[in-house]
Amino acid sequence: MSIEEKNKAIVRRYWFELWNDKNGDILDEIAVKNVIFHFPGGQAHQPPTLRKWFETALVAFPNVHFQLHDELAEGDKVVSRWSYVATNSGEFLGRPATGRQVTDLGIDIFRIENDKIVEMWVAQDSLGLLQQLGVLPA
Amino acid sequence: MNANKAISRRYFYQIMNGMNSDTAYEILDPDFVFTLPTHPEPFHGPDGFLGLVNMLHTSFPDFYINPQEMVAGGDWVITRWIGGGTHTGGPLVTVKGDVPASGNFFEIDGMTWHTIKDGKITESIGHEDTLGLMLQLGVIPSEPKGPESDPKDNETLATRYFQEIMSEGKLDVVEEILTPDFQFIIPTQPEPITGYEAFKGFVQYLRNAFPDIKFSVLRQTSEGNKVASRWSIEGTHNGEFLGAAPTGNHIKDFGIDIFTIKNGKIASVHVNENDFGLMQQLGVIPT
Repeated sequence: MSIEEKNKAIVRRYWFELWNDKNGDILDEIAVKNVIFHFPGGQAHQPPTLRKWFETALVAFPNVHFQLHDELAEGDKVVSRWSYVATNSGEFLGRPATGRQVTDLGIDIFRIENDKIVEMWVAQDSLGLLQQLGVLPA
Repeated sequence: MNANKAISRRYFYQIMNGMNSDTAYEILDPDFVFTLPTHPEPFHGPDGFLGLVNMLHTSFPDFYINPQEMVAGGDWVITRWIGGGTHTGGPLVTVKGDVPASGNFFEIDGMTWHTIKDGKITESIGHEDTLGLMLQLGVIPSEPKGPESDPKDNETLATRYFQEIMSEGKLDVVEEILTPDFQFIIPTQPEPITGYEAFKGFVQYLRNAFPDIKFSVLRQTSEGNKVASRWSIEGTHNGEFLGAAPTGNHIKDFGIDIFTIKNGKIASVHVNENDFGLMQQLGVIPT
């Protein structure tokens, strides 16, 4: 299996086993503890670690479900184009649950080293998310 | 370079930054579709896309979008970019209505997913930090910011750039006063010179061509996060420069640099100088 195919398989575990199956146990198998994050500067939610991100996201959006639309790998990078649907049934950014269903689209770039995710770049519509939650007027 | 990556680079540098409509007709498919989740309607074809590009440059006369990294495979190229500009022009049409010019500078990151078939881009899917854009343009109130940077501090950065880096060749000052993704943008180079190593290489190249090069700042002014400097250079042409073999000629040139300062460091410099006159002095072009 080429390095690209191997890296894609690791990223698929990130989407399907970690996020969709909510299996936090696999996190240490697919990522280093101190993954370097590059979130959009405007994003209100800037978690310090991947584990913390996973845990706080599941409090706010316990049923979050991702779909992987396209994927591509070159060298040590894997790119995913994704969307999710989730219900805000827990506290998010210090605000009580709204019960609203939200959806978003985005692109992530992963850098893989020794079969683990070591760095991530995230592009997503954080304005749209806050509008859907009613935090900001649409 | 991967052929599709080269096409994506032209999309950013020539169409989005350079507003080059010939390139748009050359590399965009007639059925090209541009989508951004925050724009309810896609932009279609080269003409539709040029309309968007013109709108951006009208709102932000210094608009730029610069690729930071590309990943390619099959028909796809994904580009991670940084874009920005100063809102001094026309209103910006957004999902939150027309935003009048505030004079605010913004810089955000984003990604673009291109599909390229037979040398033409058929689809561009963009994702960007829309919230960051709205916060920086003042459409959405943000947390109170720290104290504004002092224009005099910004001018000091520009002065040190000319004196210590360009005239004295002190390369260790590069890290001290430039951002890691610093860009040196000059018409004689097809693409910006980006990052510490590339820029140090350029300084060494320039100083090898003109070992006694001396920059003098003739006048300088600043506003917000910009500094503008009019300068002159003098030096002796003792090494190869832009294809011109050493002539021993004493040269003199003038130019204007515009610096953008971010968090106390120089993030970019746009250079315009009398490159035609310089090439004449180097004997490359007859006088």
